[in-house]
Amino acid sequence: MLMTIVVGPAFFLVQYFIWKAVYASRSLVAGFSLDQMLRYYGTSTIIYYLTMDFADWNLQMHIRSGSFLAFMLRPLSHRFYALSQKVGHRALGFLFEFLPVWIMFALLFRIVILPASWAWGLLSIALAFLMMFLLNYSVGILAFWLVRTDGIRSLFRLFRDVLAGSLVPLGLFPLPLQWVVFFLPFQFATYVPVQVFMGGYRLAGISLSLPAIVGIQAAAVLAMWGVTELLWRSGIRRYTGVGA
Amino acid sequence: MGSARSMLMLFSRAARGSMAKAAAYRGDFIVGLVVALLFEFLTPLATILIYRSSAMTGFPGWKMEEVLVLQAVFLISRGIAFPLFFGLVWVVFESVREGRFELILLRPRSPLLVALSQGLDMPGFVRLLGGLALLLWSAGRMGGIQARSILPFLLMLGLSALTLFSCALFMAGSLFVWVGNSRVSELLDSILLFAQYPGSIFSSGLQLVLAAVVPVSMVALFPAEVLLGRPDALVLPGIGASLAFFALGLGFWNFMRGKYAGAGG
Repeated sequence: MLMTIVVGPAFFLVQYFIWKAVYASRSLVAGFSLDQMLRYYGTSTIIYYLTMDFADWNLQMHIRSGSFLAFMLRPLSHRFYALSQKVGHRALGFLFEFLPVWIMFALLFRIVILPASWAWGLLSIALAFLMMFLLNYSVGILAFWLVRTDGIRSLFRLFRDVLAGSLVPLGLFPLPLQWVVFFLPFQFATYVPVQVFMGGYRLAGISLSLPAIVGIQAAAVLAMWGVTELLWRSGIRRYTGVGA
Repeated sequence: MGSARSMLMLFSRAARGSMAKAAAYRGDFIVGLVVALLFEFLTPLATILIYRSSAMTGFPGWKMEEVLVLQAVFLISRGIAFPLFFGLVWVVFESVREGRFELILLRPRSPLLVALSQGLDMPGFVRLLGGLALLLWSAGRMGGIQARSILPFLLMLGLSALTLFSCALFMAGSLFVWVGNSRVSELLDSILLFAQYPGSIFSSGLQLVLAAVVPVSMVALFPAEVLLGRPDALVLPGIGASLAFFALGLGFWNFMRGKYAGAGG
């Protein structure tokens, strides 16, 4: 976990140099100033420490190895168990990843990352936490159908990270693609909480107030919970525990 | 002669084993390969988006196609080095954690050679295609590459692969003491991020460090600049640094291997 203290700031340092070079000849890129761009990457880096999980890998590993059988005998749902596991894991992440990197950003780069509105910012992060979990968990459920899910999980992670705005802010995408991304669930895991943290939401020419975008985020989480439930009910019938 | 033949046989058997392993779960392997190829294009995609959104001004002194050549060279170098050398890291990772590195030490061959052959990832060479395709596309848009640049470029590419091999030696060596650290690859990824962009975006002090201390610039920047016909002033110290880095890597591997205690067995 302490590896994050090196990896996160190194990634940010490269972004720092990239954007300093790009902004040498202009003051705005896709509506972002240099300060906003650096804040975007800084915020997205530290929010990731609060929302990331391995729910997909864990679930597929239990299904593939047959150890999932033990969870079927327990008097609680596996989804609740996995979510609780994530809460514990990310509580540690808050102490050993989020806080040290937050302090490093403040001391080394003079970027103090604080939400524009504490209430909406924290609520949006909580929803992003759930959205990331539900997205990953849904991919883990695919192991009920597939023997190995390494390839499909990697493919999903690739699309999730690009379409969530982890690679570049979604505002840098061509307009038609911004429209597509607007209707996908991925932005609610990264782009939306980052934008809420920064105090305003804008994508595909649409600007929304903080309550409006956080409300949409909550509805998206609810819809994603429904998708997970459907996938679960359909997948669990296929489980035979062959590997047990 | 006999030793070279035996080494060749070792690697040819390892190559066949690697192909057979991939064939066992064909569907997942093919999806994985497609994803790996797509992953290769993430940094070039970000570059294109950056240039598009900054009215093509991008990085000072570099046209978009030139940056893409640099990133293609990075992909080619990684496409050669990763399947050849980086399996070593995971072989050491697993065998040390499970306390069965002795099985490698007992073989009548150099432990490094045996671990390298066990980690050989033949299907991984397919990823080279991504780098080659990007190089052809971006060089084509620039009107081609001068023929006289190709030989020096290939020499630099060899040094680039050697630098990456040195990184693999450092990573694998560290795992003898830092047992089961699955995030060691993230450390490399974060260092290699600096290899994927023009040196001109970094401060002059950092450029010197990346050229002559930890020769990250040798991975892609210097070979790409040679290919583009404008070698960097720091290329000579860079060559020296990459050779020294390799010697250090080899020394580190041998030193750390001596520390293996078989604690997991």
